[in-house]
Amino acid sequence: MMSRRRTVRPAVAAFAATFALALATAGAAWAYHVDFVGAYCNYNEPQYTSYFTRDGSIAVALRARWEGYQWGGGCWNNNDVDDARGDPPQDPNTRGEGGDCSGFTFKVWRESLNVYDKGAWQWNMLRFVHGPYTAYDFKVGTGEPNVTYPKTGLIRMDALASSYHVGMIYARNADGTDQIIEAKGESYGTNIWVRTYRGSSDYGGARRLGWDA
Amino acid sequence: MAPRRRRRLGAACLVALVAAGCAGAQGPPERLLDGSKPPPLPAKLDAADDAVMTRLVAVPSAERLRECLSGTSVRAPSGYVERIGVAGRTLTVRDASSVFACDAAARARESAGTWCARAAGRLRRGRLDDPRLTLANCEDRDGRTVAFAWIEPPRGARWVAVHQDSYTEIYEPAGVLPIRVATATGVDVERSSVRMTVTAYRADGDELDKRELDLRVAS
Repeated sequence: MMSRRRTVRPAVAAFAATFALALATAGAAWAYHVDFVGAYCNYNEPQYTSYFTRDGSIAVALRARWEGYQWGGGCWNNNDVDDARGDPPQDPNTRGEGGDCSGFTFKVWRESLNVYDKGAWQWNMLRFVHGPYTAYDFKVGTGEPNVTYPKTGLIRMDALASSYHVGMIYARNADGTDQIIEAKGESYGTNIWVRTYRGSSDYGGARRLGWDA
Repeated sequence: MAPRRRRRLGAACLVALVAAGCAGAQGPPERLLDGSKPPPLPAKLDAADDAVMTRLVAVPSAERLRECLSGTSVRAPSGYVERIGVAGRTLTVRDASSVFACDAAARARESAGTWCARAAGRLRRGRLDDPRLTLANCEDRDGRTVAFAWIEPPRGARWVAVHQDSYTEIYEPAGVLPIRVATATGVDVERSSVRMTVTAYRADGDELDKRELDLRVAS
């Protein structure tokens, strides 16, 4: 009897250890590999819109609030939860929910994949698109609808862009700071924060042209 | 030779030329972007008979560097290299914590001076955190998008080959600087991404590593 117990126990322990390891590994994988893009996103055509306003773009931007962040990403729902929380940062292949800063700006500014096109295009929030521009491109005004603009003259839904990041002005505060709506990073998500980008020499002003109001 | 037979032979030759892809047009390009002849291929690297060697300029002109870095925050470059390939010309500059690139192609969609694109990348423990793919503003002579991205060669790589549609471009690493490569092949504008096959070779010409990269535009 004793000898049987001695042989069974190590086997049980080994099984338990293997099972625990398998669970831990699976848990680690599940923690980031939520294929949100595969499950929910689409590649539908954008809708051309002949009238677009800064207020309208604020509404577009607010739908992405709380929805998370994805490096190189560009699709989200509107349930106020990051459905792919904990993705490893700076990996565009984790297919999580949310945009990154430049993809978010592209979609909110309703830009075209064609850099010659100044027109406004409505991208559904579940349409996976990042657009051709990096933060640096916005900083230097790449693309027909985009220009650099003096920081003192920036108003809501204009942007402040550095070589690595871009965020749009949600509101200007009396103390000279701005409320910036931005896709900030995997651990922050997409939201509105008070920022001093306007006073930073790393940041330049950027404007999308063509607003109707 | 009878005229009729000569005509037949001529037609056969024409068919053969077309089947061979008109020889010259399908072979590796004979000129780099700046009109110069490519450097000779390394003798030990016989892996690709459709290969073309890119030119590495270890000391770019001061004027070119100034043009590139004007208006940037790069103050004390610790290394730089210029590369001239078939579709693109790039200048990569490194300082303590970042890498900066100026990219040129045959045409810019929006006039932007010498360089049609610029990119900045952060270094973490000496490695880039992202290849910094750019594809917004540069075109080749046929109007195709030319994309640029950095590749970090694996340790021990003496040459890096980037496979294009009808030829393979060979790059030589330059110290710790990442290699800024240019391609008009595998560009997917709709998905803001580029797929490219990259092979690294050892000094003896043996293959060290081969992988397909799926690069995306990111912030």
